[in-house]
Amino acid sequence: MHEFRAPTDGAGHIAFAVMLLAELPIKAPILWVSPQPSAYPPGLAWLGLDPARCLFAQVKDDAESLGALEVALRGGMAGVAECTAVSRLAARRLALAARNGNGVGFVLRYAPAFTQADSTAFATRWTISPARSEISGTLRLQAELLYAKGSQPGVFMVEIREAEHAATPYAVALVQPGIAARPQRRTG
Amino acid sequence: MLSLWFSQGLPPAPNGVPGDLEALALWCQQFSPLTAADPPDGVMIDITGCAHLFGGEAGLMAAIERRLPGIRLGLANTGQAAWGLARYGEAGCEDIASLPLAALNLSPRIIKKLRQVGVRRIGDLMRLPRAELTAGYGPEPLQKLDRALGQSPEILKFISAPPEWREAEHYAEPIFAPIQLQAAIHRLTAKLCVRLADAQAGATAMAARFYRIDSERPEILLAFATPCRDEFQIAKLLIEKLAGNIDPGFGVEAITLEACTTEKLPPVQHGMAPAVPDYAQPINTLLNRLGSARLWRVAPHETHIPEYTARRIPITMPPVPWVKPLYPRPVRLLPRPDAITAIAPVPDDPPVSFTWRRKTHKIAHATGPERIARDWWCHEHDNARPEIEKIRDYYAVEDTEGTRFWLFRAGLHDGALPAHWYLHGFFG
Repeated sequence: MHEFRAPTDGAGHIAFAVMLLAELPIKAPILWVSPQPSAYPPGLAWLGLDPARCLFAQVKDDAESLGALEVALRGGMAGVAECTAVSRLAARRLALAARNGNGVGFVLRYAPAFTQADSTAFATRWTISPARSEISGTLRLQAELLYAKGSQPGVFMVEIREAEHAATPYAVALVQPGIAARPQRRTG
Repeated sequence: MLSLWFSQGLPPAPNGVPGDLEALALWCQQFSPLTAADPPDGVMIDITGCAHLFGGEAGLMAAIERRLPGIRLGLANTGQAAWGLARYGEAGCEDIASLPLAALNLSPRIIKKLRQVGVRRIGDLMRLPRAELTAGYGPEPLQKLDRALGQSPEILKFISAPPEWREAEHYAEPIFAPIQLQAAIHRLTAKLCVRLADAQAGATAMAARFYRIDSERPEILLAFATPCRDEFQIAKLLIEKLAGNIDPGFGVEAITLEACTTEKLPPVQHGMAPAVPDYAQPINTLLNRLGSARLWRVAPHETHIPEYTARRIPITMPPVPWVKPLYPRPVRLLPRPDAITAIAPVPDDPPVSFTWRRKTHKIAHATGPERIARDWWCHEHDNARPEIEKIRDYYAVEDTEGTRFWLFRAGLHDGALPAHWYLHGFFG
């Protein structure tokens, strides 16, 4: 279970999660849960994730969203849930379901980097914020690893470029963080 | 009403059982939904409103005669008259007055008594005074005559096909404790799944009905993405819905479990080949928890308009492969384009800054325009606003904070209507 946060409006955390899902070795169907249908299938296809693998679900509230994600994870599917809050209990349950079912789950939310209900149940917790790109036509994201089980937090820069040919429409490059984005040691 | 008389004995029924009148009556439901067995050797079919499907009454009768050679048919407004015409009438005859008295299905004793006074045909009977007929020969002749003429109602026992995949339990004492209901569900599912396994079938929709003693009948409906006959999975789905949907009230006196639709599901050999991952169980659970309206797949749709490029298909349908788009597309698309105020050099430059939700974004980088025109072949031509007015010019812009937006300008800057700017999605 991994959690991706975005500080403001935007979709950096969605793009980051989609890239990771596209790179996963397991090809299980993906459940995409959201209160409003917002993920755009051609956008997923652009980042290399086949939308035919996805099942989209519309839910009424956070409880239903996390419940649906838990069912998917327990059954071995991959799952993405967009929600507003995750309690410690919910995080624990989701992590357990993912471990039992051998599933991969992502929680996407608009939240500040630190909240009262942060728990260490998830394997990693990231905050993905937009970063200014150097050249036109690229998307640069600052991915800050806030918490990781058994490893150090850090800051990474991810760049998505429009490649020249259509076979690989994007290329990810890790960019060294600049002086402004110095890694901040934080305990999770 | 059409009466069929198997004058040469009952033909073998479609399932191979000779002389099974019920099966024959069921088989006749291909002609009309209302059929009744007419023992010992006939079938009644109510063809009202169905004859035109076979090219009229003559066409219907010809179709039946073709399938059942040697059959005698009688067509009349009432079942009683049709019965008589099938047995005693000539082909094409519709008048019952000339038929012998036996065509009314009267008992032989009464026929004999009437013959003694010279009444041989139904027409003779119709001319007799009614009161004296009843006084002399009992109520039966008039009753049958009135039925044949449609002056008194006749009762026919129309049959309906028995449900094929239904298991039921009846209780001498009504039950209402949740644990009793759960145990009943486990028993019924086990029984039904054994039968389904024997037939190599799986259910795609199920209904559990709870017959309460106050004649309420709450039910649980299940749907499955793929055919299913796993008793534990079905029982779990039913029990999950039991608490919220079923109020046992003063008690439940019968429970039925029915597989409403079934499909072929061949048995699987376990432990031979490496196990293929099976995601049917979580998908079925989600489908029953959320409902088919809130769980969908997406399939590509042949259009350039961004909001219509994906259409929803039910998850019971197989996934449709996607091709990667030629140009970058945002990962998040707003359900409706959001109107923004933008400052842009004319005619075709991307905006310098725009205001969305009362926040002004200054633009650092921009790519575009990507021009997307309307599907003009799908729309009526409008002289007042030519198609060129309805184009959208899309720009991918990045503001000074690094957020990438997908904006478009609707219309041209020197068009008949002023151009408007909209925010449509987010890349990141």
